[in-house]
Amino acid sequence: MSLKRQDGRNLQQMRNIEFKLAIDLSVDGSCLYKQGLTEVICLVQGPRAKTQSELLLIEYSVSPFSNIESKRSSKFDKDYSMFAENLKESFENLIILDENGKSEISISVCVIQNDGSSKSAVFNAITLALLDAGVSMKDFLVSVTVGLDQGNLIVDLTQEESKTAQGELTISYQSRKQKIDFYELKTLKLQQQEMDQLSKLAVSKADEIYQWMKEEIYQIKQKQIDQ
Amino acid sequence: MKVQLNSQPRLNKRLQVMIQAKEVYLSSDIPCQIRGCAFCNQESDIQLENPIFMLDNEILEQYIDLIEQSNINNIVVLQSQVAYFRKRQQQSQYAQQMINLIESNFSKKIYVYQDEFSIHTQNGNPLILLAQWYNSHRQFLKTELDLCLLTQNYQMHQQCKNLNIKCFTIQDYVKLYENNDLLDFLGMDEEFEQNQEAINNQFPYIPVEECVQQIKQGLLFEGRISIDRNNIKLARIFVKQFQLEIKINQQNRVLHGDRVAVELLSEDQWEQQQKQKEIKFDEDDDDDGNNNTHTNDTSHEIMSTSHLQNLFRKVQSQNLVPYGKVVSVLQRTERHFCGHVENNIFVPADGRYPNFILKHSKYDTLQDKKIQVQFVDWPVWSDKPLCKLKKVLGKAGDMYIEGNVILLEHQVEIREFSHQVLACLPIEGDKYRISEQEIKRRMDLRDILVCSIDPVGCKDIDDTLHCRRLENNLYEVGVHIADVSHFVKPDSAIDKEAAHRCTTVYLVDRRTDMLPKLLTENLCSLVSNVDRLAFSVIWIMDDQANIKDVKFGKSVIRSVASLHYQQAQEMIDNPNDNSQLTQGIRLLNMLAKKLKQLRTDQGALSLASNQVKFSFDDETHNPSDVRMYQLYDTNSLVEEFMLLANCSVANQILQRFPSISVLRRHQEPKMKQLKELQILMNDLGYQFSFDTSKLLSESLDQIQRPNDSFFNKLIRMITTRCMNEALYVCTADVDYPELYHYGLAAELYTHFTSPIRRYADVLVHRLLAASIDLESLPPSMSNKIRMTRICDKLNMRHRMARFASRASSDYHTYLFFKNRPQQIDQAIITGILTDKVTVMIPRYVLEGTIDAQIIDRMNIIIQGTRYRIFDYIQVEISVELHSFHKKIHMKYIKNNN
Ligand SMILES: [Zn+2]
Repeated sequence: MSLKRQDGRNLQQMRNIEFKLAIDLSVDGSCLYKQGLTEVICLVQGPRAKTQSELLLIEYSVSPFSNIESKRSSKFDKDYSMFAENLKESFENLIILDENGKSEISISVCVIQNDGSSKSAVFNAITLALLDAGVSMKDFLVSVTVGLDQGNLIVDLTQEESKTAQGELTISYQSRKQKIDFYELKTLKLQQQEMDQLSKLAVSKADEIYQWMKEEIYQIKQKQIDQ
Repeated sequence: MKVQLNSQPRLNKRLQVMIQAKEVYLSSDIPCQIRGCAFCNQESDIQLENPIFMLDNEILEQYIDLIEQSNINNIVVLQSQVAYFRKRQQQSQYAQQMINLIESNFSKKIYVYQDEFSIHTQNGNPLILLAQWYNSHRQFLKTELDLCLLTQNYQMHQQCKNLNIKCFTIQDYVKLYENNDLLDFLGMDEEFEQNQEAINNQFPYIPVEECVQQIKQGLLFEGRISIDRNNIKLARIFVKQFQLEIKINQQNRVLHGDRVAVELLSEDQWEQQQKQKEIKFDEDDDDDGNNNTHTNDTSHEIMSTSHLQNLFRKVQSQNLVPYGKVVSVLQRTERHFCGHVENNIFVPADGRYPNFILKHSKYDTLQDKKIQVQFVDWPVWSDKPLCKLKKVLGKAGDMYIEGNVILLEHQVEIREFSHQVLACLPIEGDKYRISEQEIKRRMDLRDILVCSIDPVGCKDIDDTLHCRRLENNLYEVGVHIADVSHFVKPDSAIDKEAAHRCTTVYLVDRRTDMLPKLLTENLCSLVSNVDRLAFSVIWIMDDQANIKDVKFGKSVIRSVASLHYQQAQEMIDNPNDNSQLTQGIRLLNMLAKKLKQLRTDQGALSLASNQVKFSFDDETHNPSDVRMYQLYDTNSLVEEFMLLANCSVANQILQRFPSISVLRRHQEPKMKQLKELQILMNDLGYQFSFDTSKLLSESLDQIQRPNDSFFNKLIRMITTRCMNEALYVCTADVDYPELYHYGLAAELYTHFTSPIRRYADVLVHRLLAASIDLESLPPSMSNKIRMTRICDKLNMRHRMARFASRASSDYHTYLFFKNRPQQIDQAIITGILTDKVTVMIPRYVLEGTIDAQIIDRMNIIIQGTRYRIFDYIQVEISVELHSFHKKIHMKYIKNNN
């Protein structure tokens, strides 16, 4: 029998992903990214002449109304600043800036609504906004969340599933180098075999997302050229 | 893949309405499961065959017995229907029965179609859409499809007609296709005239929507009807929102447990509350047992309207009891009733319910039977509700059938274990032997002298002990508990059944097991001289019973003796017995006493229960004697180590799984009642303080009367009744300090030691195994919401099991005194009511009342003689059974000297 999840999805089915580029013309690049009910907005300024010492500024925020039910905890706040650091590291290594180091980029990303898997949505939104800004990158970074719930391997967890899952893994993945970049595992207790299965699933899903995004962006570019 | 956005309003913890968006992904690949459908082409264990039925909710709810006994064997139910029933499973026996039918699934083929996720069943009545979709599979089948929809809804009949869907009412279906005997399960039909006049004191109900409006405006009050066990005319509701009790003087067709809307009468019809000083003797038998009340935000809104403010002020300041009348039933109680038949009248066993009118074709066949019925309706022209037959249980007066009635009335599951459940047992059956491989994984403790100590005749032995002396004045003590979770794998059929039953229920003359006999009495029971699997807790202690080390692990043991309490006591006391086993037991006894002292120093209470023990006449099987349980030192020996094991395990699992552990907590006692007891005790010249459990414990110790050992026991019993019930909690809901167990004065406590008969212990075994990395935690147990729900269910089932045991004990007390008219015995006055006193007969722990003239809260006059509370008098006893509770008639006998 076909096993369905709480929202009717098959076990390894992503929610519908939609994104819109160039939503804000006052900045160099922008993206509104939706993955099911999880919504992230990302704005990019640059590359432009350097005003500070840093190459990359990332401002990560979560709208106070974003969470569908649970409220913030102190644990959340710690996690929050950690994640901002992670983002910075990931993209710093990826962005190709001019050799003299005279330009800088600032990114502002905000989770407008969180219905699970918001971190992977944040990664994807940033990648897309950077592409929109025309920033050159060494690789195409995509991200996905997978988990183990009631003994089943599932992808793209909703908030509800996140609460009941035994393990939840978020990775970001450099698609061309085929290399896992960011790796975060939240778990009560998993066996090695289960962890291996999760990683494998995450990589294959990340690749699927990459292929799909590449195609979508190609279509968008085509349209722009046609016009 | 289509996505649909649903917004479902729901209540949050503070009862505010939240609207939450939810995405639903629809798909077209959900199969029909008809045998041989080339379109769906699914291999599965369910293959539906002609004729296939779909049933609407009303039929699933009202006619489930009929369905069970009919030839309707292939049924498609909707996921949304299952969800609807599952949600109400706890409150509604109707829903429970429907869920049972789906879960048992051995006589019928039932396919749950996931209509909520199907692209074919959106935007319309899902049953009709699904029937239509099923019909469209005709062309892919090798045989003709015979699909039939049963519904009582007229509109649906019309729609089906237009769409060429075969459709019947249950009545038509039964008449056309089934055996006539099933007609008795249909209940009333046309014959009853609709247009009869309303009888006195009864009037039509206000429509529910209107009531809801008026409740919001504070014009009506909502609550659950509670009817007095001894007087059906006394009804009240408790309005949780305002913490207000309203007595009902016009019941207008209510049943105990109904949720109703009540209108207050004018104030001149209210009653002044008499300041009664009484020690309440009956255990609180509120069925939902849910005493935690929230006053929510809306109540303040309503409170602020002036008329209500005045009302509450008046009620409080003048000690008034408001009276009201029932204007509408918002939700009928959904339970089944057991009882017997007199002509066409059904008399329920539970005295809180009125007699019903029963329609049946052959009353004479029901005359001496106990039967179960279901409520149908209570028309405004009838002084009695109408019901229909559910099940004939058997001959009235038969001890086994009467036991069944007690179990059914307390919602105890008495069905046989299904073959799916039995299929989970080891295939070798009672020839099962532990494999070498399994032994290698475990601590092999078979050479250690382990023994069990239990009541006489105990067949389900779940605990054994050992103790041996080490060097340096240290001792190794082990508690070895039956490893039930080895046989009951998470989420298997047997696990689900155990989770449904929650506990073994003990009646005086029988046991209703949580697990099949093969496990209960054989493979899990730690009997002597066989290898058995166990879960062990092993401590290293010094001679003052201080714990130096503790470890947990799965083991293999071989008990050397299955003792009973008295036997073990005799071994300890026999100076000539110096066997190794006896020495071990003596050490355990010595350490147990130290442990008890430690606990008492912490403030643990030792309370008394009124449990009694029956002896039976071998021939007639009637009770031949009733006594209080006799306790030996060895009772306390076993108890101490079980408590210690439970505490150690609680610490261990909470440390590892802080948010999903299952613990047992005991909240502070009912202070108001303790306060009353304190005043009484002070008047009698005893110190009595209860600021802490330790002070209470010390107070209880010094309440003694010369030459009267029962007095102290009695005061402990009265104190027990001031206690709250201990409850299972999931630690997701409760913070650390609130997990305290008051009665045992333990920071943390849980149940680990009786997994054969309590499901909580099975859960705790799994948590413990995961906490020491022996096994991984089953996925379903990491779900906090689910664990909380399980704890609620455990509490409900345990409460019901306790009531059932008491009812059984009452029934047997009744049988005992029925054969012994005019017994005269000594009784002690235990409480003073308005015009009578409560008395207790120590020999049988029996309670009753005697008319008396009250002088003050200490002194009374009975038939001209003056007595004080706690004096002894002579009484004559006769017993009558009423609504499961023994009704004790006690007559005062004047002392001639
Ligand atoms: Zn089909």
